[in-house]
Amino acid sequence: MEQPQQETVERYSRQMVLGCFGVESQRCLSRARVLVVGAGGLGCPAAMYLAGAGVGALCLLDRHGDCVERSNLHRQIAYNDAVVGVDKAEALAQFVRNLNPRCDVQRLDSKQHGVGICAANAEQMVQGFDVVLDCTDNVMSRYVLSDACALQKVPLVSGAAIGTDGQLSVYCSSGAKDDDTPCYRCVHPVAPPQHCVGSCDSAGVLGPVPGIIGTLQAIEAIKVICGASFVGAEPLRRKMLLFDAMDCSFRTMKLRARNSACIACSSNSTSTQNRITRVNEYDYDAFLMGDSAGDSAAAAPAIAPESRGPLPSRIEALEFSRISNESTLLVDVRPNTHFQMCHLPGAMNVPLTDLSSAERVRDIQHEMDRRSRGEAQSSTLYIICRRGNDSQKAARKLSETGLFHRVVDIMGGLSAWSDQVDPTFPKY
Amino acid sequence: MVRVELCFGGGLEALLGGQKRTPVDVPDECRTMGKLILWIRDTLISERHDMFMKDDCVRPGILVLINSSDWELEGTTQYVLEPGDSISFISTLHGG
Repeated sequence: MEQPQQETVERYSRQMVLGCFGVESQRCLSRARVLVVGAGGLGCPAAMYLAGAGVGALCLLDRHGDCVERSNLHRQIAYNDAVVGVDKAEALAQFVRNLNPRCDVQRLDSKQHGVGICAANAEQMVQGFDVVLDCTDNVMSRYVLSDACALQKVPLVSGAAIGTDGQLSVYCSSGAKDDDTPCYRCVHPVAPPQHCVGSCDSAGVLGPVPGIIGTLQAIEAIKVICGASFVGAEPLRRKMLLFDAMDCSFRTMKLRARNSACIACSSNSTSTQNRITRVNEYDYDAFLMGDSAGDSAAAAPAIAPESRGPLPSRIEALEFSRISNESTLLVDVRPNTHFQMCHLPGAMNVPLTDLSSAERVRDIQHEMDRRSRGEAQSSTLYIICRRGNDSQKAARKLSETGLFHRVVDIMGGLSAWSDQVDPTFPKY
Repeated sequence: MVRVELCFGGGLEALLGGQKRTPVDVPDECRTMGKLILWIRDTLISERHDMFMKDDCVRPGILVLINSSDWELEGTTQYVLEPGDSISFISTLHGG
């Protein structure tokens, strides 16, 4: 067998000398084409380790126009202060090119603002790759990517992280006859209701958690690529890893096999109804709305009490800054951890979730009385949140109690305050 | 009564005041997984039941494990609890 070149030996010797890995696995890597979708907390370490390991071609895809923000830097470790504002996929591509100039790094682009992987482009994007890494951050992308990989028979290394938890699995069969690996849809045939889906943006995430999962994704991708040359290595197929940073536990669970009636990956195309034949012909919006829409429509009349108070109105942040004084009561309805991080002077924190408690509503009433010195009957209660969504819900809820003369929510929340009134107020 | 351990993860622990592991004594008449889920809803979860259930089963997006196996491999709602079983409810994560 031909010997590797000098630079190959120098660069990859530490993994090539591994008995289980060897020269042949390194050759597999050098011929491999890998697609990383998502250039965030998972995509950064995954792409960095794969480039370092010596994959032949590495393609990166993120939402067009998605740029590095300062709030990304605690976990998206390919970036630094100097690239805040730079296109993410481009910044990651630059980092991994510097890391390993021998790796052919390309940035893929949907050319549509705010769009990364989507139903219209997914099958074309994943075509011809040896493995795809799902490093995305939303439910729709996860189904789209899995369906595309199922149809194109490309293995999918899927990672997810939020808070202090991480999850990892390898989905989608490579097409081999005895391969019973499920696709994402086999395991999750019905999408979760939208109100049950958290994001790092709102729920928070401990920086190293996606770092761990993204790094493990790189390992799984290497195992998938090298196959039998990586002696004894078994990709995480039909298994899922659950990582909990709080007690540093790694649990591996057994997953179901491929569903022979799955609309995305079943090979028996004639017997399966509503089978997805092309990803760009499937209605993902309807699929994702399916249950959650039904939920909210059914639940709304049951929980909404009769409206007794006046309807809440809204004002601009700038207007609020002009009219507020020390007797004004501003209730900040963000979760307490957000409030502790930053808030407007004199604001009272009552998280949205606490507003169903009569006691907390009474607290607001008392504070209102105290500040207005008995003039609460004619005073206005102002509500603020991070971006102006929760404050609307809170204002409606407080209005409906009938206990307040006038409830007004501040449009655009603290984010608008930062834009319109005080640019030194942190935007996060 | 049958004593089992319940585990909640992926954020679902919030429904139990942040507690991830809870040993419980399940009444004999609730020994199947289908009944256990209803029992959990009625005795352990005090609010936001829609984060746990939809109709009479766990909501989509929750993986149910019986001793570290996907419950699809164990008969789902028909599975009969054994003393010492560990039953996990893990919310699927989507962040990245």
